[in-house]
Amino acid sequence: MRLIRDALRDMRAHRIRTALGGLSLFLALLSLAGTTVVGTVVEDLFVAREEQLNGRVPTLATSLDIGSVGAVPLDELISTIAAEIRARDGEFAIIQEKTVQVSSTPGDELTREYVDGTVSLVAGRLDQVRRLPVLEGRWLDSDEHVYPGGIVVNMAGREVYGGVGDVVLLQGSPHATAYPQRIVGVISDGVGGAMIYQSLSSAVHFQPHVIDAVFSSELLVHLPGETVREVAGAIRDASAALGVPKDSVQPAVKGDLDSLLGNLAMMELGFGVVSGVMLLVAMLGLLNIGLATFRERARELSLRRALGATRLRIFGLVVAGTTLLSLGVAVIAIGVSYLAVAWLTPRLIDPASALAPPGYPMLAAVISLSASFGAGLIGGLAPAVAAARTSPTRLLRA
Amino acid sequence: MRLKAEGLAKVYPLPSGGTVDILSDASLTVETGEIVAVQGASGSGKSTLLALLGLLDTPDAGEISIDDACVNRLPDNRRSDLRAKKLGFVFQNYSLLPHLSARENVELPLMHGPRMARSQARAAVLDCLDAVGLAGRADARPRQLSGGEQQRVAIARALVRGPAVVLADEPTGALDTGTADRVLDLLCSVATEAGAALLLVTHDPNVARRADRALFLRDGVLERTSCA
Repeated sequence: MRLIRDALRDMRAHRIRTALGGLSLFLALLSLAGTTVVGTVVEDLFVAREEQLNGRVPTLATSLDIGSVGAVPLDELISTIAAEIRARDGEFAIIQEKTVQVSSTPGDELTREYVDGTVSLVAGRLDQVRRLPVLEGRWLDSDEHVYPGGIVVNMAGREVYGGVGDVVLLQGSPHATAYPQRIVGVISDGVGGAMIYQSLSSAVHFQPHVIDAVFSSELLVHLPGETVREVAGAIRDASAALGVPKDSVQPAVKGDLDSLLGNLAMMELGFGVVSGVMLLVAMLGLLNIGLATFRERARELSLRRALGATRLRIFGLVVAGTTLLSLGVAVIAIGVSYLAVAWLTPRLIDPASALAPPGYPMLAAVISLSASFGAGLIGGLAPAVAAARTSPTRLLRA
Repeated sequence: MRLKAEGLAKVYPLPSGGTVDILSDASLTVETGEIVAVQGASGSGKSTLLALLGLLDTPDAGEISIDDACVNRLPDNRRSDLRAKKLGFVFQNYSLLPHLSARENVELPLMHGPRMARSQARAAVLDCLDAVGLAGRADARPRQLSGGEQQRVAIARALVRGPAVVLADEPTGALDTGTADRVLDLLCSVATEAGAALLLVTHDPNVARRADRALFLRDGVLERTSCA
């Protein structure tokens, strides 16, 4: 404590030297913390956005031509896929998008107005495969035949069709019977246009005419913690269980997250190199200032030695000074980058995504503190060795 | 306490090659409460002798003992410790740190060596500043003090740990005659009151006259000149 108190007093007494030493280190640390923060925050945002639109990592998709599995009833098809995928602790979703007529004024049939709407007919747990925050109500009972079954709308859909509890009419074709459906949930799916999500099982059971004659859908499979290869294998096995030859199935990763993350990694590497060089320069700056001021401090150090300071104490005093300075600067740099993240991230997120802004990455704080501590220690080492060698007789020779 | 030196020798290399025997066979003893002056011409080795007796440097030959224990062969950290505990220094040019206040300058020796409670340290500093008549100027920086005041701060600093011996190197060398007399009176009185021995290294006969004993350093050897 005495050493730290002494070092702090020394820093206060030499404000200009302290400020100069701290400034370059501050810039380097800000750059380092900024690189880490930008890297992790932007990565979080990319990943969150991609997981919302295309599925959690790793999710693979393949087209599923239900017409080609012909004789397999839909319920059996869903349960076969579910058995294959859930046996591997994964989740799946079958999606077919359709354009239907939607009326949010289900009063008198003569005055009723219809608009074109897009319905995603969903089997399995799309909400587990994609990141779909539920804003109101609940997700679909996707695999059950329930009437009216209920539908879920996205944020834009809530503006057009209403919220939880409201009833809309869905009409598969102009002359088909319209079926009422109650909105049971509102989700954020990252899609700008109005979307309706309805259970595929319920739709097929109660409104068989809404399904395309050639039933072509998309199968999404997500296996948490597994590789893309494992997921592809699971999809092929599920297809084989349905009688589809494995070789004819070509699962693919949806979206371009890999490419985005690759670009981000390159950018991070570039900024990281720049930050590293800045840190090195800052460390050399500390070293230089320490050695340059050693001459100025020679009398002081000599006096301290004469008054009983050991070489170790003098060494510790100089190292403690640079280390405390570097840690103080690191705390300021972390504080500044924290405030920048708190201010910036909410502005980077599309309001339609309803994603929570990523928090300040602790990694940035750890890296900044470690790098700063290292720079302070190394930068202070040579001046400290020189200071510890100061002869106490210097005072008498003056 | 007894500070004793026997047969001290110190050789310095010359820039032109060769060596010079600055001390060849210097011996003296300083007892508790005694005031001893060492005189000598410029370059005679007075400061070298002070550096050796103050454990700031090591002799090439001879022995320095404190209470009959040889100390000049101790490792550096032990000698530092002894300096902090038993020795006080007053330098010709005051050697105050300009960025510290008078109080902080006096506090410096307490930051090294054995630990002292903060309250006790604060009290010791104020007592010493009071003893040299500068309690009211404790927060002044050296540049705000006159030469005499600065040397009084240096005296307070030398005494703050209660040393057994105060070693003063030309303590009045940078002061005018009137101020020098007052500072010297103060140095002798506070050292005596504190029970410390005082070794004055000086070329000024007036300073030497204040001592109980005066020695003259000539050709690297200490000769007794007078007794007060």
